[in-house]
Amino acid sequence: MSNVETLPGRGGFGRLFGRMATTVRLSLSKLSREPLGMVGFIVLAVLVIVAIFAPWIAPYSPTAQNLPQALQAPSWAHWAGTDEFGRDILSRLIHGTRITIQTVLAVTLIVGPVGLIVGVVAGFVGGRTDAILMRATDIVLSFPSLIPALAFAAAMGAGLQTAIIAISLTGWPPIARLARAEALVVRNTDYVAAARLYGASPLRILFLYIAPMCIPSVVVRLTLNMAGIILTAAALGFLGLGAQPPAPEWGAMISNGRKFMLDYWWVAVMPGPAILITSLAFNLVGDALRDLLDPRHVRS
Amino acid sequence: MKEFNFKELGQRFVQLLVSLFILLLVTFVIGRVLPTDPVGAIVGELADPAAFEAMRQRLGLDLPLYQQFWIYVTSLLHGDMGTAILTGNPVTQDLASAFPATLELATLAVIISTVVGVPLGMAAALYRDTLIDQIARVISLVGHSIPVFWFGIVGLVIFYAGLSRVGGPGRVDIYLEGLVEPRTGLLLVDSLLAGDMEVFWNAVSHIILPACIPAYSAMAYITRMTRSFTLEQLNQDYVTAARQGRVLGGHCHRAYPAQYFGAAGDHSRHFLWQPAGRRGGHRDRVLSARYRPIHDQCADDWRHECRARLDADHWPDLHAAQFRGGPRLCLP
Repeated sequence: MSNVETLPGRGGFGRLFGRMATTVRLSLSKLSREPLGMVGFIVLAVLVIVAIFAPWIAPYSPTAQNLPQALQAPSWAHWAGTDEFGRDILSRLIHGTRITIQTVLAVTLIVGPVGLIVGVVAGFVGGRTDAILMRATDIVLSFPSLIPALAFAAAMGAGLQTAIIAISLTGWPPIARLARAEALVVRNTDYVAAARLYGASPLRILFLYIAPMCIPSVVVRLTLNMAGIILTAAALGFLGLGAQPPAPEWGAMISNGRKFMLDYWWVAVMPGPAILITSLAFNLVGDALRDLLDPRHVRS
Repeated sequence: MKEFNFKELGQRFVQLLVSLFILLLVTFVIGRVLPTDPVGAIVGELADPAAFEAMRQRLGLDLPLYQQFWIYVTSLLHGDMGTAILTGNPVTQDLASAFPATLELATLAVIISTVVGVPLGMAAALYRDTLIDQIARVISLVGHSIPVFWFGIVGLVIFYAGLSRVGGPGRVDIYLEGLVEPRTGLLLVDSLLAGDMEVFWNAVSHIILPACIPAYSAMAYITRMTRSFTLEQLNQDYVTAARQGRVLGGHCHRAYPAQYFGAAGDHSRHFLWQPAGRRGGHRDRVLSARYRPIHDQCADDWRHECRARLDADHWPDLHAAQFRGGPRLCLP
């Protein structure tokens, strides 16, 4: 961690942590003035807890069949009813949280760094590298996001991994564009010029001086993206290209309930609010984060 | 008017061609990588190797990949999209038969989303940070977050199965199918042209739910965009000038002549400056000494002053206040 000490304007860990604590405190006090964003944060926290402790929270097993109890309407025993195999829908939803959070995290962990690196390199190096990288980005950006995902999932065989890779394939260009725009601004600042003067290598400037400055807006964009990722993942599941049965994937559960939606509506309807709430929470948090992290953005 | 930029248009066009080409390449490669066997599907599992090989040659699958790709691209350019595996019809024919219904649905959805979304976005901007704005924000956020395929199912369960208010699957009820001569392929237009109102209203009941559901997602986007565009425009100088004119023109002149000269300064305070979200009571506190000269001058001769102050630089206080979202200029 010797890098930290040589960074300009930072004297030792104590001051660094002090400043970080101040930032966090400021952010929290700003957040308390954003009631909708606060709600989003709380919902997400609850979802993460539910995902981690799913086996202890869920009242029944998500996969155990209980045919005498098939297609029971919502009741005190089964809050969200049961599906055609007598599986408790609420328990399946609770276990489905794991799949959703897993998908979102995996896609974000792929898309974020890839987009950041492509964008920052394009913005910092400029010239022909920039042109080539940005044309590639534009081309991928012009694909409608679900179609390549469909084709890819069809070619590789359906499954959760395929869905994650397929969504990631079309997910990075917006991040790259954003990171490039930020890098274009940051590379002309005085502290970068100073770093270059005292002999910092291009790679060092790229990753220690420019990339960190692009992270806040990238994080905001990623959070807003997560809402879209959830919808795309659920759509893939709905089309049978996501996690395979008997895995309790929300989209697949809706698709499954479609067969008897007119007589037993709860099978198809119940997973919807779960998707809606999760996606909404990410949207709210993304909005709030944008207000907190991006001082130039006037809330509009 | 902005000059039309042919160079940019050309670049865009080349870019479009390149992306289309890559999309073709990707779909082609994926189609070839797919672990399905078209030859086996045609000749059957138990065909002898000679028949298998003959069919393979007939389909062109023995050629090198680049030649196959060339055939694929050239036949696409000639309008031949091949045969659909599911229906056995030429793909172009399947597309053509589905296109009018899609066009009808999409047009209706776009109309609905615009008609609802634009006024909602404008209302949200005009009543910024009030309850109306918050409601519009929640409506559009939910629209962003709702899974469309689920929303459609809920709509069907409620309005078709539950309330029987709308038609179910299909473009019209079965007993009305084929009654109207297809002229444009758009069922709503065709039934109107034929003067068959029963088919028309039946088709409306069938299309209204499928149109409203994607329209909601689109509306969420339109509302958000309209709101931010409107806010941007509301902060422009010409709007400020127009408001100032209306505020003083509409109200000060009503007080003319007795109060216009005498108590004009006082009078204008009633509606000129108010703390956001509050009316009356606190206005004097807001009317700090800093703003006072502006009122008095404006009230003296609003016409002259407004014209002179059109430039934002002449009105730094007012603009600063607006941008800060502090005490704002309110419409009476």
